[in-house]
Amino acid sequence: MNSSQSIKSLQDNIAQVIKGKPRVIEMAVVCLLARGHLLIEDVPGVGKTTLAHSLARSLDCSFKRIQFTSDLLPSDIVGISMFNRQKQAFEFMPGPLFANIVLADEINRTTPKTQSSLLEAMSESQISVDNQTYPLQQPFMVIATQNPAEYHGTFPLPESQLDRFLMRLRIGYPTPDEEKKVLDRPQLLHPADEIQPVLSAQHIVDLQAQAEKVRMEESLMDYLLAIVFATRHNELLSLGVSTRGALALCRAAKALALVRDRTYCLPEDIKELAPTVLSHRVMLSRSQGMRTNTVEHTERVIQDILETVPVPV
Amino acid sequence: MTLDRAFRLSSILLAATGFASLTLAIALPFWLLVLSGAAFAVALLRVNLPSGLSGVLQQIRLSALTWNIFLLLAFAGFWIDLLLVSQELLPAGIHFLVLLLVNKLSNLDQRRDFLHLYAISLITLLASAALTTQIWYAPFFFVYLVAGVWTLLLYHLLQEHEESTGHQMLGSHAAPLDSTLPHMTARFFWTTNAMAAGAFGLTLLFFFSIPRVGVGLLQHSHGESLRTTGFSEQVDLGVMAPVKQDPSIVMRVELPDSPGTPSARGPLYLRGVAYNRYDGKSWSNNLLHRRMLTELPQGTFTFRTPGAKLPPQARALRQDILLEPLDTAVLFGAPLAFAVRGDFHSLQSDLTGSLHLAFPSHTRIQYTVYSVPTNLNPAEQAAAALLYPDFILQQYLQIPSVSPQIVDLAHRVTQPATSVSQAVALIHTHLLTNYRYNLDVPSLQSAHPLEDFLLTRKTGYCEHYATAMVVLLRATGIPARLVTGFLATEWNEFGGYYTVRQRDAHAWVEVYFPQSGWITMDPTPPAPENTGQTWWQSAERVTDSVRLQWDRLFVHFSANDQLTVVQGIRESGEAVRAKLSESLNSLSARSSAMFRRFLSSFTSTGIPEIVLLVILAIGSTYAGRLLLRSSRSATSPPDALSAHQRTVITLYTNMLHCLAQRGIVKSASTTPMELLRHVQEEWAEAWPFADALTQLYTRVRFGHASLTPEDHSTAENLLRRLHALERATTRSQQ
Repeated sequence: MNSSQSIKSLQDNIAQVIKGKPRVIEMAVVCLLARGHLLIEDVPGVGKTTLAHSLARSLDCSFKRIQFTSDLLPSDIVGISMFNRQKQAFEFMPGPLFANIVLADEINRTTPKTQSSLLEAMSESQISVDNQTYPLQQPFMVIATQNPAEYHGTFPLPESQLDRFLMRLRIGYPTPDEEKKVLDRPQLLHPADEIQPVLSAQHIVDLQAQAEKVRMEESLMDYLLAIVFATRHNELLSLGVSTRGALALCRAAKALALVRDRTYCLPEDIKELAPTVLSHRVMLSRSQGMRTNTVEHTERVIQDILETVPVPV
Repeated sequence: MTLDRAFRLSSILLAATGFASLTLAIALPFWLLVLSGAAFAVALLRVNLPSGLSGVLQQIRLSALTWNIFLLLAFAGFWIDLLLVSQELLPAGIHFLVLLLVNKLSNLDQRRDFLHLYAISLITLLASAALTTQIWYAPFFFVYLVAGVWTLLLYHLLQEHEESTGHQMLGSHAAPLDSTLPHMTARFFWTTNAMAAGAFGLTLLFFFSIPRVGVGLLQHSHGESLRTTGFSEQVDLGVMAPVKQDPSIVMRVELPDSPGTPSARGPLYLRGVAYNRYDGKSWSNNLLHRRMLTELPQGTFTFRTPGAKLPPQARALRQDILLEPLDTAVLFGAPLAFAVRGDFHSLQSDLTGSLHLAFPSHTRIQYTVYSVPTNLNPAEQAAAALLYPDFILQQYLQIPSVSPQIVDLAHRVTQPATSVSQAVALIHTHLLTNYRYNLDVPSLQSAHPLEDFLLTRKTGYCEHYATAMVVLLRATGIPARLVTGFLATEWNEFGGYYTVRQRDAHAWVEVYFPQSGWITMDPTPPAPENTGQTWWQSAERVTDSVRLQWDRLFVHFSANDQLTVVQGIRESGEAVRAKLSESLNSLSARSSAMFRRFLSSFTSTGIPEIVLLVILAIGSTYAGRLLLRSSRSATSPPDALSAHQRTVITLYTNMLHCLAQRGIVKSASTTPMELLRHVQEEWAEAWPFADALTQLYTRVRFGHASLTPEDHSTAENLLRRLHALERATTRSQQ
């Protein structure tokens, strides 16, 4: 099975569960192949968790789900050192973060302290507890879901935390037809539990390596940087895209090229991904009358910026 | 204009240029001119006529057999021409060539016919080059070059098109012009012209850098020598009047070592012949004994014996003279010449110091004269009496039996004089002030022209004045002689040389002083000049200087000149380098001095400079940021693109143009695929072409795939079909 076929089968597998959202599925796969972490933000009940679940189930690797609540502590996630009486020594009990795919459900319901405990794992793929560093196995991907910021009982994610997610996805309501199909389905079993894994962990690592090798032409890098530069000098935005953000966009564009069965990037790869990859990394300036950093607003600003940046010919 | 028509027209233009230059170079018989003119007309008509009429022309074409007979006759005619009529190879060959040209022009069918036509036109151009050295050849050459580049490019394009489409274009005369043929665009036209100009530049480079054989390989002596008067062994008084109106150019004189305007230098006397005997009506020279001048290396002839020291170069006046063919063997030069350089076999001089060639030259000659002007020795200026050598007394005191009134006049004029030089000056002033310059002297047949001039009429021109002065001087016992030559007054400020014409012919006087030598004196008052320069005159001077440069640079360009050019380039290169390093040195010295001064003032006063410095720093930072922002926000053009990428970008841009004509405009921020979707919505029938082109474009442009020739031709084909589709839709909409 070559790379395009395996990617196709992965998408098809997820599509069995998530109806009528091929773009969302594609983005999730891109995020996986770009070694990124995914933040799914939307209203409750549109399939955030189901998407994470079905992606995890489609891969033949370990999967843990953490339900974030306001009383969750960092040690609940990363693990804890306990004293072993037989051995007369402390022993590390790994937490749920030690898995290939971690679903951080409703991540903004927990305190910033616990949220931050994810930082090291997400950026360096390792966990340090009691002066001891434990590497995480590859692939490692955090899929977080959150409700929009203005909902009750939420702690908004700090910017540093947000920046570590490769992309922020919205799912949106399905069309009436698709929704009907969902209702029509047997309700006994959770649909995500029905699907079978189609790719192994090793397979994913190979695909990720392949995505790294996708060629990005020099003029496209200039294009990408021009977009990033424009976000930094836009008067609607008080915070522009960081270098990490530029790097993320580059990696994501390469992965998207691979998903679309190409060995080189196109301008569309960058242009299409920019709202998804960049919108959670910028902050709207308060003077512009948009007080809330809603997904819709930031994505629209990014979209406007994209219309001002010339595409290389 | 379609490619095919442009090709035929430029082929005919090529042939016409070659033919026209030939007709200017050699006089062709009238019937041949008419015949070839008709052939050109027929060829042009064939290209330009609508198809209906060309069918009629097709009917009246001569058969191949007729043409074969014509050629055989022409060949026979060539031998008759060679052996009986012209009796020379060149004219006979050219007549035959023109007949071949006529044949080819009337039968432009196959591709090889065009090739033959090019070969013939090339030969005509070469033949005219061999036959002429005139300046009109240059524009013909240039036009030929341009037409040649056009024709060859079009020929190649047509051939390519034929090979790609597989059907014959050139072979079919009556076939309608192929509508799929691309049209000539203005861009093609100008690109081709630029290429031709480039080729011309290259030709010039070759011309100046490659050694050549001598000029005039086949050159005849063209034109006649100018008839001059006043330089033969005997000159009648009054003979110069007719030539005083003649504006034809005799020579051009450059003074390379003494730059400056002629007004500062005064008129330039160009000495020709001196005469010692006057018989009352005419001057003659009986000191005819000529001796060969000593030849030094490098073609320099000198009056001195070998080993004798030449006068210092600084005092010498160098004149570069380009002399038109004259009917006299005299060479002209400023007094007093001591050396002549030129391409002569030998050079002779008689006892009066005039220069003679062995024979009058039939071609234009160029030579250089070095002269040292003689001045009156101060010791002799005050001398009351001078002691003359016997030879001088014998030769230069002769007076014909003139009326005693003249002798009286001489004594009366010189009476107040206390010295010889003063006597000379008195006679000179007397003639200048008491007589009027007038060319209109009727008495050519007068028995006593001198008496008429001096005593009765008191008007005359240079010859009368000079003769009168010589006779008056001799009557008072001062040796003198008459000199004829040219007085150069017309300065060409564009070329930086004197133009000397027939009407500048002049006569003046040389007075002998034992120690100083022969002193030039001119008793003729300046002729009333027609002042005020018209634009026409200056335009004439410009063309004349251009003609001179043409002669200098092209016709007479020799290996020696090449050497001079190379040396000049080297020297100027050295000079530029020296100047550059000097200015750099001075700049660094100045800036370091400024810096030191600034530092010292800084330490002494303080505050204002600090403020100034801070403002400067802030300002420059701000300006730098602004610059950076503007340069970054503009997308930098993609540099370091491969040839494939550039090609595919051109193809893609072409497609964009085509789409734009249909109203589908790609904005700067539109990506290729977005545009493609747009095309699909707006113009579905064009989508397959646009899609294939875009795929190829993205693959090569961003994927660095290589562009195979098949890809290229496929893409061009797609583009062509897209254009065709665009035209078709536009037409149907109309």
